[in-house]
Amino acid sequence: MQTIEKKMRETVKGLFKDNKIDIVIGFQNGSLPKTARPYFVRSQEDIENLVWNEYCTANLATFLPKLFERPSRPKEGYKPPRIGVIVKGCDGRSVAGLIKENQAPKDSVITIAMPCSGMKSSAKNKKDKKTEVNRACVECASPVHEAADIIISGESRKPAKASYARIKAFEAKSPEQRWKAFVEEISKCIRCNACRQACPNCYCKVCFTDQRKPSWVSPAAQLSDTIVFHLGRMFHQAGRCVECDACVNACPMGIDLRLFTQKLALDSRDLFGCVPGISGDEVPAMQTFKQDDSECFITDPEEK
Amino acid sequence: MTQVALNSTNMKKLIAAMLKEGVVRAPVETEDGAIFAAITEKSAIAFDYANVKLPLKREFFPQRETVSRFGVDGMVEEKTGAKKTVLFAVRPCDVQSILYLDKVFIDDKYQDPYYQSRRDKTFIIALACSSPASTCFCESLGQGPARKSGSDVMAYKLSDSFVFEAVSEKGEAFIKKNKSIFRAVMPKELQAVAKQEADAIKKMPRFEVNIGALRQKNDPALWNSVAETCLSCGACTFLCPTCHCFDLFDEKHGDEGRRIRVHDACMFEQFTKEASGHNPRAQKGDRMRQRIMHKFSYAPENFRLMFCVGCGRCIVNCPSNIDLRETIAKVTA
Repeated sequence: MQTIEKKMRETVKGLFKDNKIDIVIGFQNGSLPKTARPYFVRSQEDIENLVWNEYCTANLATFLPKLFERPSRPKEGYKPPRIGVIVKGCDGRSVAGLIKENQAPKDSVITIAMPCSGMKSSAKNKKDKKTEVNRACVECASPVHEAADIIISGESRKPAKASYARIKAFEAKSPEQRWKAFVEEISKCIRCNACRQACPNCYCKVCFTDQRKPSWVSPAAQLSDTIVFHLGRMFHQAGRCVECDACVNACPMGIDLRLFTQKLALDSRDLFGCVPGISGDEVPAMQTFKQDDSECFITDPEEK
Repeated sequence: MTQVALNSTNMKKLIAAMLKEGVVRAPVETEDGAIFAAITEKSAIAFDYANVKLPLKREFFPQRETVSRFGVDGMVEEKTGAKKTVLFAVRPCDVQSILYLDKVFIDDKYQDPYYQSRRDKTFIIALACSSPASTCFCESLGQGPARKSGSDVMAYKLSDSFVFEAVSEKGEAFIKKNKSIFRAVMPKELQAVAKQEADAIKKMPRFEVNIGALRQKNDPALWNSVAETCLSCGACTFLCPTCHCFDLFDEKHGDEGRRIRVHDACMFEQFTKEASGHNPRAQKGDRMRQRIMHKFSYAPENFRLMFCVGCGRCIVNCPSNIDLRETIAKVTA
């Protein structure tokens, strides 16, 4: 891990030295033991604070859309900042998605892929065991972002064969049971929006749930509103979610959102052949229409 | 005030006595952490937790509440309908937070009827902290793991017994009424209580706020740099026991509607967005400054109190691990 960290710092140093970069988004040690948190490197002096360890859980791509937001009155000759991002497999997939959705100019982003051996979350809840690698990492099919601009070599986790066993088990339940399980999980929500804010794909300038004229979702945060919030957010992720679990890790209430986001990922893979973020050229499932697109999810959701 | 003891094996009797007073809400363990829930005689109460997941404010100032209903005939204020409640095994920091909220919701000029009615009908039995979390710093804010003020009865959990001490007159009456379930306190129990408090204080890291420097220094660039990794979510404010900002809005269904009060968060980008589209706190740094200044500068100005109880919830639950202690140190340096 330490040699990887050293290599990473040297790479970043080189980028600054060659004046190829304005900001590098990476990780620094957190304020609590066994944590790491997002960190913005803006100059050579900051580089020594960059760390790489098994707690680099956050998805750093989430900061990009804001950083690339064009100022309302840009100065003459405005150029977007040149941003380097330290990426795990998942962050890399998110960056690729953001580039594809025109939220980050390809020429202004340099991805530095790390050999990821799986991340652990800080223990916010009793059920989170600090020693355990996150489920998203255990089930990760591409721990290293092979399409990155720079790849730091090192030992990484072996790609898992996504089994989707939990989803299959969930699908096997009756609609009533599934609804009950969904509502039970969602009823923990306090509507702090941490899931949405941590998600790189949630970059809408005004989220539909924040709109008040008309008000699609009441801010009263009653269960029915909360259900609409989550269903709406999830459906917007169909064919885009990279299964990074940024939402799960950000949630202070320990809601198992993965069960639902993964179902979307599985459906978009099985029904539309779309696995987001792996290659740069595939068109997101919801942005295209093909004659042979599956429609069974509308007409007969129990069938495939 | 009166001190009594209770053998742990007699806890059920105490629960029965509390149930006679009204609804009893106490921390119960869930896989996501301890939360306050209504309990019955059979419930297992969680005593060994650092902090409940959700702050105590929600018991008095719920995330949403209807304040009035309206229709073609006009508007009718919603009646208050608080039930008699006993809050059991509340951490002293959470109890302190309610004393702070009292200043906001019940002052000389204005009394919030919903908050007030819940406050009037609630009996609080606090539980001293024996093992504070690494993120706890209540002692530095002039409070401490066994601070009694605000509670009716203070409880201390020892190895196989509990010590109870009446704090308010209501608490005194409760102990007197139920004296048959308690026994006299042994001197060694009192020694254990004192030792527990001293040990808990020793464990807690110190935290200092230089309010003068906080007020004097206002460097927007510095604030933006400490807020750089903020995601603008509301985890810190919604889980903060003293954050009390709310929004009022009307919900209409056909000819009828209601006015609802909901929790709001100054960390949300839309919090200060004006109808014109202008946002006076457009930057993350502006919003971070507001949150910190409200707690550590404006509240001392208005109430002579810092609106932070040192529970550490915002530190533990921030998705970007923005640590309030570090933020303050950086902006006052």
